[in-house]
Amino acid sequence: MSRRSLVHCAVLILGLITTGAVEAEAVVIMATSSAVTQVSRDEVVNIFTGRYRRLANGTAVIPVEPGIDTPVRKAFYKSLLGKTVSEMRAYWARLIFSGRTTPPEEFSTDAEVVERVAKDPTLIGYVDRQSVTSRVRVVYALPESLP
Amino acid sequence: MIELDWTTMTGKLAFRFSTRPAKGRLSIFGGGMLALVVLALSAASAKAQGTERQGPTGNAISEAPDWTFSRAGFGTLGAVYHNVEGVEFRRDQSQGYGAAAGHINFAPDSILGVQLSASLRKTFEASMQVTSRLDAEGSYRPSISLAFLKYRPVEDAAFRVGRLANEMYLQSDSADIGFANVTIRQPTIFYPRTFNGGDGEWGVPVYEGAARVKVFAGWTTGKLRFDRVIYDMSGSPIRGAVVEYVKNGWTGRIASGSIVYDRPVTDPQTAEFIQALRTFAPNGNQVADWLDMKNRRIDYQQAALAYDSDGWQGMVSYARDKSPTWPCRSIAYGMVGYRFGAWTPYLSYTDEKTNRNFLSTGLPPGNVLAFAAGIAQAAARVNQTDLALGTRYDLTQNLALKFQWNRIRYQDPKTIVDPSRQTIAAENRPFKVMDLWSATLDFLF
Repeated sequence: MSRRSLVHCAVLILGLITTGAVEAEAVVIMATSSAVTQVSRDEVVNIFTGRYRRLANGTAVIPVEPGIDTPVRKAFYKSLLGKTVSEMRAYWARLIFSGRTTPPEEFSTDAEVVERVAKDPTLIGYVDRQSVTSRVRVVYALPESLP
Repeated sequence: MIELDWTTMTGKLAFRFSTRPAKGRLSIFGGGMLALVVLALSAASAKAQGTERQGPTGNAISEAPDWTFSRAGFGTLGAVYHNVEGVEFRRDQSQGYGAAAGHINFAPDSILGVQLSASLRKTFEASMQVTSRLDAEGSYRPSISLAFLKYRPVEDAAFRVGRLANEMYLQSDSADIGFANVTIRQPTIFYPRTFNGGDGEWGVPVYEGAARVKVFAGWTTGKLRFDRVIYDMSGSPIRGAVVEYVKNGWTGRIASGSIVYDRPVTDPQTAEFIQALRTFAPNGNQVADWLDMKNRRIDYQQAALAYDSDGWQGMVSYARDKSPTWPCRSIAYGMVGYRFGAWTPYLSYTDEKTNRNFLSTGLPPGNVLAFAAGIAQAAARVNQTDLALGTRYDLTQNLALKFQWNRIRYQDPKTIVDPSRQTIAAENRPFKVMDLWSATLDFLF
């Protein structure tokens, strides 16, 4: 192992010790085939809470998200709404059992979300930045993502 | 038919299967709608042969091309305790009996609900929810709490027809979903809880938030229990509108609507009492007309402001119920809670007021008929405050424990059954205080 690699490992280990966990950096993505290049924080909030699922340019979008136990899901809602996963369950329980609206479609991994979003320009999802591929475009990055 | 009958007796739950024939509980409208919803759900179920995954509330979701089929459930195992002899505590006015003093009682707050939904290309949806809870007859017989077909022609608008939950007050359409609520009981568990009819809503972005306008109309369903009398409120016309604005954690909302109760109280004792009033009291006709429920219109208005973000949950609301002849009732409510990790301690206060101007029968004070007329008029009023202090503890992502203490101070109670109130002239009855301890386990499945 080179000296440079050793330094990288040491920095990584130090980072893990000081933060206690690897931080997920949530980014909102759409397909590169979509004409949308950027969305606002308010649009993201409205779309992922089921309040209003249309972008400012009039495009109707369908939200998708990774599984409930993924670090990025916790980070996304904590950063976007200041809510825990349990609080989001309570939020959706109210809307589902009153028949008002449906929650985002859920896929178990980031890779599945990226795969589905890449194929359909009407989908909007969020994943950890490290999962982003060239087939999708980051349209919004959360200013701070907590573990 | 085979029917699951879930009955309960003081603290003990018993299940029994009966083979009683159906009693025609569904109207033609309700039955037809139920058939449509079941048909749609069956079709969706048959087509859903694709993948199955878990939804955001732990619900199961199956997918096939164009179709999404989901099933989900909620429930509460609730226990209440108080020590005020002779008094029964009910969760709401639809329950046939309540928790008596000195016993832990599981009846008022325990609820179980299951919901099946199917959607076709996000444009059409069929849902049906069946709930088992203590009803006016004192049984846990499952009933249909939601059954609708939804059409969403564009993303901004949706129309539903079928049995729908009443959204007259903020969050009143989810009063039974314990997991969704911070407190064990909402301040105003509004009746009628459901109606057969339709609604339409339209959403629009406004100043970076989202506004929602909703109108609804139909005929109410359900029964209320007043002392020994069951009042069937089904078939009463209801209509209303809601305007809501949501931005970040804030929700502002105003609602307005009306109900015209269409059925008189028909039990023999009440009929006899009304007849006696008309016959023997100088002002008996006026008092009897005042008490009559036939064609009684009640108008509702509510304004509410709620906050839910960064661990804080809070709500303030003010509602007024007006009737051309009945006294105006007001409901003021405030609640605040803050989440510390898995714990969310909260405090709420409700104040319901109705003016206490009683109509005179014209009979001399102390007359039995005049006394009874006062009691009957008081039954149409609510004068009660309710202070609640409690905490919610999220055990897992689908399981929450709650502990709550209520201090209820009442002159004219709403949900409490207190026979001692009927031994005092209603015009002069004092306030009474009761403490209530509750614990619930709320779950989603």
